[in-house]
Amino acid sequence: MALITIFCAVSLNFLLFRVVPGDAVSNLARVPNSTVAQQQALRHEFGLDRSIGAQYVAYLRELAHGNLGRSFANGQPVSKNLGEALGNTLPMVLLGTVVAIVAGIATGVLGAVRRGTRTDRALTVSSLAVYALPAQWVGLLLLFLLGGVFPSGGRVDEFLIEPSAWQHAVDVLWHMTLPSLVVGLTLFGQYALLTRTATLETLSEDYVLTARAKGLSTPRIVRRHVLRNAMLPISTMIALTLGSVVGGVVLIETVFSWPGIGRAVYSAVTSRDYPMLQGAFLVLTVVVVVCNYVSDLVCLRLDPRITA
Amino acid sequence: MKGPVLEVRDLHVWFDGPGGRDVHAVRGVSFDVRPGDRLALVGESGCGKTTTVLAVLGLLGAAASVSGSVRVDGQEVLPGGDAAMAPYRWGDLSIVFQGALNALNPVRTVGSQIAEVLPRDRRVSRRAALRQAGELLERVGMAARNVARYPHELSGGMRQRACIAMALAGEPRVLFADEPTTALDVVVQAQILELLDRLADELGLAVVLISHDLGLVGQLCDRAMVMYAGRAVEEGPTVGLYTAPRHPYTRLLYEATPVLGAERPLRSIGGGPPALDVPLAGCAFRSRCPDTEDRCSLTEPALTPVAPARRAACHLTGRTP
Ligand SMILES: Nc1ncnc2c1ncn2[C@@H]1O[C@H](COP(=O)(O)OP(=O)(O)OP(=O)(O)O)[C@@H](O)[C@H]1O
Ligand SMILES: [Mg+2]
Repeated sequence: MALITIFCAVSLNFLLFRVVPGDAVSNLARVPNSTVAQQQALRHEFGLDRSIGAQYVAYLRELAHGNLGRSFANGQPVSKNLGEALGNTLPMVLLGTVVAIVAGIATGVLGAVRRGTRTDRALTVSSLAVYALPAQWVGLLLLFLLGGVFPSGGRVDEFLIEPSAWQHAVDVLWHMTLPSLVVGLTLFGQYALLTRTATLETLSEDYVLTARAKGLSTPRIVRRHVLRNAMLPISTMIALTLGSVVGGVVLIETVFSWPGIGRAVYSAVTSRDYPMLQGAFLVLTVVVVVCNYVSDLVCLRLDPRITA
Repeated sequence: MKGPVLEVRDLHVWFDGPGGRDVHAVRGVSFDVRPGDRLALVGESGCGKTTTVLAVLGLLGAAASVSGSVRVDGQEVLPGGDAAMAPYRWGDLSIVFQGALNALNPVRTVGSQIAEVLPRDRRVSRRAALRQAGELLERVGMAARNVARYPHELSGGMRQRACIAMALAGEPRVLFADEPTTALDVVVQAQILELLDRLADELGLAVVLISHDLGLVGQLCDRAMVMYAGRAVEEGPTVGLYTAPRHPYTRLLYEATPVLGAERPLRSIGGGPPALDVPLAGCAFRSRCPDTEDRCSLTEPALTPVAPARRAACHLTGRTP
């Protein structure tokens, strides 16, 4: 299933860049002294004079070998550029996401169990507030508040001379704090609200009444009869929201000059680096599909009623 | 004779209704349960049977306010809330819920749900606990290997049995069974009833059966309380209740119940029970009663003794033979 989705995405991705008017070579027509013959030669070299079908087959064949073409901007293979960028983005986003998941679930469950109390209201209002703020705004706010404490941009300290592996890791983590925090904060509100709703729904189930009649304590009821059931809608929603994180990453990485996939997309757009852009889209699609696949696996493990 | 395990006095329940008008769902119910008793709460849908039981067990939550007195072994538990009730839950009072289909957690095995309420010394290890759970399942007529199965893998009747096994796990003295057979076909109904009957005998368990089915009640219970609009209208031994009802509602309820082999026409009771979100003037059954007098619309009749061990709440009961 996940493989079929990726195949469709790849095909769409291919089509998208063919339906835009003009091809890469037509830009060259603006280069002074370029002749039609030269343009034709270039088209032939890049295979652009072949039929769409033949181009598609060639594209798939190259893709299967991991070849995404070369970047117009720096001449490096796109796969190498993207690999580096992804290697920078993933730890940063993962750190933020894990923090958001843990804090969000804890907050949501607490609010639901204490429903209607002052604690619940305070938690709900703050979750809503964080949820409503745009990512770049949160980013700037954090930069303003904590910019003196944590490094405000980049991934490493350029002036660190020959750092040991340990020093390097600490340095990266230190730089990662602020952008991760922004990712975490923007997701946290959403997860907390979602968890609260899912938990409230579960708390009204008959089997929770049974658990109460059994004389189990509230923490035990939550642990044994509520969490796992509430996790089903939550894990599905988390996978869906991770798709939107990908969009947010463009903004966050630009604010914090984090050399990840979001910035790669941004600079590819500004410099019309089609191969990079096409490759980046592909990578983002694959990331989203993988997230959904993982959430399916999680549900499969949590719920005995679902069979593969 | 030993004292009652459970004494309920003048129990009232109000729910927060829509538009700020409170629903007075239970209006002064009293009953005792002694060891080994077989009591039935009877009445049509919505008369407050489930609400009464949930209030007694302290399970109604914040949406309802409860007043009156509930004593377990002479100990008052009602005003103390959850904390006061907690020590008696499952170990003294347990319940098989109405609609047992949803009473089991779908993502946990039957065995683990039974094992978690076993007395502590019975579950020293996970294996011991599961073996105990298996023995309980055998007791209710299921194979012990069902401990490893999930609720959705069981039929309705088996789930009901599993719920009964779970209710027995804490070795209670009183078992509430809220319409335990409603969702089941007649064959399984009879089996479950037989099971409850046998278990009550074997374990010396007191059973409080909640039902609208007078046939079932007659088979399992020796005492019944007939409820109407949140109140007891008649109570007494089940035998006399059917042959010589002293409240018109009991009589009509019996005439509306099909009994196999009885050659009599089936009659339904016209109209419906009164709304409970406005104060009632006079007898709650007035609008559906075949023979009313003036005072029926003025004062609500109290539950008064009409025969040995029999009480009824009807102004005209003295004249009904
Ligand atoms: N949570 C609640 N909030 C408001 N009203 C309620 C609530 N639960 C029950 N009621 C009302 O209380 C009355 C009694 O309901 P209850 O469920 O006790 O009836 P019952 O005798 O068990 O009926 P049934 O045979 O259908 O189970 C009904 O009028 C019902 O509408
Ligand atoms: Mg009921």
